[in-house]
Amino acid sequence: MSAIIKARGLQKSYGSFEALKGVDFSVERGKIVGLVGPNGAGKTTVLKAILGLTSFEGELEVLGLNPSKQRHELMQKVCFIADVALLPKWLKVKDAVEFVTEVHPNFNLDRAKLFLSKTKINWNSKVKELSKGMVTQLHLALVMSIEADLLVLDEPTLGLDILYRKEFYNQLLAEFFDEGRSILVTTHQIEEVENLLTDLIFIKDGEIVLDASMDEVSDKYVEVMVGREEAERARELGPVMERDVFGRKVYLFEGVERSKLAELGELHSPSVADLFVAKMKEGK
Amino acid sequence: MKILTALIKREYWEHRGGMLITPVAIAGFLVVLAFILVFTLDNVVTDDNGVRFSLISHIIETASKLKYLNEVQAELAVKSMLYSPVVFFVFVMFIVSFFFALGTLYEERKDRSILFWKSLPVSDTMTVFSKYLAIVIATPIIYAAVVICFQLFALIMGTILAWFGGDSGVGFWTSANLFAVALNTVISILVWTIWFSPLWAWLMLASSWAKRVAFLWGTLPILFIVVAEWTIFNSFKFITMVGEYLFEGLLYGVANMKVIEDGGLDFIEASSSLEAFISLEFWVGMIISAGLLGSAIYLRRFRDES
Repeated sequence: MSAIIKARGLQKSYGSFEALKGVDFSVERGKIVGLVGPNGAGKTTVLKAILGLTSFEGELEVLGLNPSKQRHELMQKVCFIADVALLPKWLKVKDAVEFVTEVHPNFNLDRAKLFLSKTKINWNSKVKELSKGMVTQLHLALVMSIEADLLVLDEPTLGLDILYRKEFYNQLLAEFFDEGRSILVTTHQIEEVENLLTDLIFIKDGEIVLDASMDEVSDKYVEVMVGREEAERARELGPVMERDVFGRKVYLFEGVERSKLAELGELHSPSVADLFVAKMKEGK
Repeated sequence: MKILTALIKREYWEHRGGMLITPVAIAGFLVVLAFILVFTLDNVVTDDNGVRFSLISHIIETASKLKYLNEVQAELAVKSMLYSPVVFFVFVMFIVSFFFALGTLYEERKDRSILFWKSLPVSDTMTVFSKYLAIVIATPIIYAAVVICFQLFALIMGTILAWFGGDSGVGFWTSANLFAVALNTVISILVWTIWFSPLWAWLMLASSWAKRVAFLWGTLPILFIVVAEWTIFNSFKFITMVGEYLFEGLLYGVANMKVIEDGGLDFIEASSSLEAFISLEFWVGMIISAGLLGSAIYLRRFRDES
């Protein structure tokens, strides 16, 4: 499998603040990678570097191109939605579709029409007449209709109601995604994407603290629910996190043999959200 | 080319108000004004001696007198009638273009649509260039088209008034080469806006630089240079130079509109607006514009605002 994104020693400072402390990671073709981290961890900086929107130090190759030097070529093959991007208020829906059709060689007009037909968006409306959720729907419809090798989504469902969010991820899988493409997504709603992801990258204070496939994650991390009486035994095995659930304890273990843990109680795969909390608390 | 066309169309969608509705509204206003004058100004004007007389009959009289003028006078009269409203349109267009240039790279950042535009495979160079073309080519052509429609209206109106005076009004259509007038109108307006390129380019640079109040970034640095030069050298060379340059552009712009050979505007050296393109100042201006636009492109491409 070929790597769509290759980063080595990716580093970025804003004044004296080190936003990225020389990170290494790669994204393979055909993967859906979740980039997860608290605010200010460097997520947006990573995405901006990948999209050629910011300068950086270190090596970074996206689809074989250097994002800061070959941004124009890159944008033919990559599409993105930035969390802070909005469509201009004066733009009409039909004009937006027409514009993208004309400037983007890989835009699939039929698919855009299909996406829009599933919404309540009026073809003749201006963006300022649409609700916030509808603007996001329009933006997503445009971006998802681009036949890109890499789709970067930064908080794509911000402002969408829950019904459409589910719908969006379903469409993303059904209409956009295939093994020739990759998706890099950041979101605060981890629960929504965790069944979608093939790979997971956690970022904290400008460093990568976890970079694994979902299979590796479920092999390596196990949650055990134990009664209070077993708590001491569980603690001896060095859990990375402990929490209370209905008067019982749940321990999260990293790389501890399953057979040992099974003696304590019922084993589960941890949710990404719990894993995230554990990883973020590590070392504090 | 397809992308450039789409980009200019994009500018039109955004600036339809200034690019199309404003000139049409001005023309509409002038038409209404003309009708009001014709139909209501009966017996309301007092002449120098305090005698009330009918303005409308005066106008009709004037219109029907066209045939008594000799060829040169008739041509002068018709051309004056056709060219005089141009100034009005051009003045409004200047204001529209001024704020267009000042807002164009600022608004997209303010309304946070810039990342949407930048997510499409359109280079920053192409984008900025399309905005420049929208100002120096698309806008003046639309204004000129509206002006030509208005000129046509003026001719029809003049003819009808001449009928009331018992004249055929044919003189309005035969005294001047109307095709040349229309073509000159387009060329004059275009030459003028292209000549003003350094101003538009400067405003666009201010627009891409400003984090807020683009207007102040567009105007204060110039004021600063003027004040600094005056304080240090006690002179006004910079602003004089800028003023002379812009004034020369206006002259080239109106050179085509010389109402008649060797007529009233003989202080203009050029006999055609197109001679602007062979003047040294024009090319110096274009080089300065290219530098300013290049800086605006650089800022749009590499500025990281977050």
